[in-house]
Amino acid sequence: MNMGRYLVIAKSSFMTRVARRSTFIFTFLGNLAYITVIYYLWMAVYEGNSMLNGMTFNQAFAYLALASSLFTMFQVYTEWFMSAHILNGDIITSFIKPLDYQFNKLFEAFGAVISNFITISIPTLLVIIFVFDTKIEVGLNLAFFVISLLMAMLISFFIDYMIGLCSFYTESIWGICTTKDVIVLFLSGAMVPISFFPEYLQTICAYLPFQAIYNIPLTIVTTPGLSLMDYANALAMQGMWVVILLLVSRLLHAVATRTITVNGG
Amino acid sequence: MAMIRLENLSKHYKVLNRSEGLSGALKDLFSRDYRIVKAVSDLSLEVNAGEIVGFVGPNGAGKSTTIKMMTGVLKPTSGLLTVNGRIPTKNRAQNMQEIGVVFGQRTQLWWDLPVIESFKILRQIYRVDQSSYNENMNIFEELIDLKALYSTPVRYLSLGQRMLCDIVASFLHNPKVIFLDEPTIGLDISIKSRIREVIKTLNEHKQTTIILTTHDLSDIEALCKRIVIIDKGTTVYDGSIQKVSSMFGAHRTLKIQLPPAEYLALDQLATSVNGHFSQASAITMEQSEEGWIHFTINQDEVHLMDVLNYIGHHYPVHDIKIEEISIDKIVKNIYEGGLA
Ligand SMILES: Nc1ncnc2c1ncn2[C@@H]1O[C@H](COP(=O)(O)OP(=O)(O)OP(=O)(O)O)[C@@H](O)[C@H]1O
Ligand SMILES: [Mg+2]
Repeated sequence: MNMGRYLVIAKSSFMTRVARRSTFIFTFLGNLAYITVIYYLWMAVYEGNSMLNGMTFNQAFAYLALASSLFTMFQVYTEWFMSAHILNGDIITSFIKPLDYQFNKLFEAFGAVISNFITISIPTLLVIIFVFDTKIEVGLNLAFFVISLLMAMLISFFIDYMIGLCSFYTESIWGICTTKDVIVLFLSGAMVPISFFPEYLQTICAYLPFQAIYNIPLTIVTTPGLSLMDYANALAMQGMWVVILLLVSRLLHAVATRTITVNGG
Repeated sequence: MAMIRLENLSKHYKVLNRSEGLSGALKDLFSRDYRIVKAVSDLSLEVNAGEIVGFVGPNGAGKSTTIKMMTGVLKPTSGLLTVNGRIPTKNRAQNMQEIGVVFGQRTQLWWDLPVIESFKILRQIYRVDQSSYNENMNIFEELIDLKALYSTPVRYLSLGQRMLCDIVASFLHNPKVIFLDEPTIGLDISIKSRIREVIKTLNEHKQTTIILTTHDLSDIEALCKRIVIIDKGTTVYDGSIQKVSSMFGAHRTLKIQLPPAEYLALDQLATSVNGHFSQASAITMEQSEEGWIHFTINQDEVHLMDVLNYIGHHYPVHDIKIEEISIDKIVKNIYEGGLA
């Protein structure tokens, strides 16, 4: 695989995103509203308690506020674009390039994630830290957090991509997409920290890839005093999901792209 | 050397038979009621390196389907297909390096980015080295005066400007073969002629093999020596454009509209025209909607002006149009033995 070809795809996707800059401000404002709501909501949940399920209010708020900015960062609509391009036939313009379709999409997603990071996540992060006066641990955890985020992005992409492949077989994946969004948001711990889940649900989540997208990186960054072993375990778990999902999505990719339907012309 | 070779190539689409209405839509969820559409059947063709071949046929003839197979995007149902000595669906990503494709209704440029960025991105995707990039950009510059558009986002280009950019972009990586699927669709005469100029010059300069589909015969006349006419997925004519032109070049379609009160007199009009002109076989007549009647006239035998004068003299003509003969008519004529 020739990386230069794919890096330019990431760059073009980044530039395309930035060219549509007006959308950022709205996503950013939406984020602020969401963060304000969870701030007061969880203040009410913590009423009189300094600690719930092993988390302080500051920790839980940091976890959820960061979750919302990660969510917008990972929101690159891979599956929606795949479906739209299958329906209108534009998919062919990807297939006539000397590129692997899946890696093409991966690097497009990568470029979009970086643009989201710079234009939405960073401002949101500043607000979380300075306006809501949230303490975030500064130390080794940040280095592990960055590695963890990278793997979270890959896992999120592979899931989106596999959903997107469904559109090669069925005309409408609207229902599948929204169901996926809800499942991922909930079972990943992006809406409620997983440590607040009932025991059996925590067990189920532990065996699913979704928690590797939000819960693992967020736990790494918000939990003070984790040992090196804890970090290694968390990252190994993510690494395992990256490998499994890479292999599975690659297999589905091979089957789905063997014959594609191109509408129009 | 044959650059492209098709042997008994077929492509059959499986299409779900849809039922009507809401209950029908629900029923379709579980339906296994498929129908086979034979988009291309037993098509054989050989194209030599450096040739420009005009690929024409009525709507739905299977042109785009054939092009999609030749690019390796669609897998043939049966038959043999090689492009540049290779099977297009094998090693797809690598084969794409050696071909260029333009679909008139789509763009392969980056919609939101300035034009020049698309060229830079394509340069890297296709690994074009800097010196051939510069060389090509200079050639394009001379052909289509791009510079003024460099900083304009693609979405602001007019259809014609976008098409010119798309076409030269497909030459950027010096492919051996280029497929142009309706590159002149929806364009006015002057931009069409510029596009032909660009295609012709680049073909001569780079010896690129080009397959071109269009509904406009004058595109083919301007660019190709050879024309392949297909209908219902098979070849009905493969030979020199000259023969087609000399056969049909003198054909014109005269369209005449009569006022509503005269609609009823159409049969009578037919009889009287046929009665008046002795070379009846040179004129064919067809009714269309809203009182329009289409006369296809072979001017080698009957002058269009004579027919027009005759009709104008006897009937209250509302409106007229004169057009070149359409591909559909040519195909129909071929079936009737016109090119035998
Ligand atoms: N994805 C598809 N599924 C089912 N049938 C299809 C599909 N694509 C094309 N067809 C059918 O195959 C036939 C050939 O279509 P094709 O697009 O190749 O025609 P064409 O010669 O390019 O026509 P046009 O001049 O209108 O562009 C048509 O009958 C069309 O309805
Ligand atoms: Mg077509």
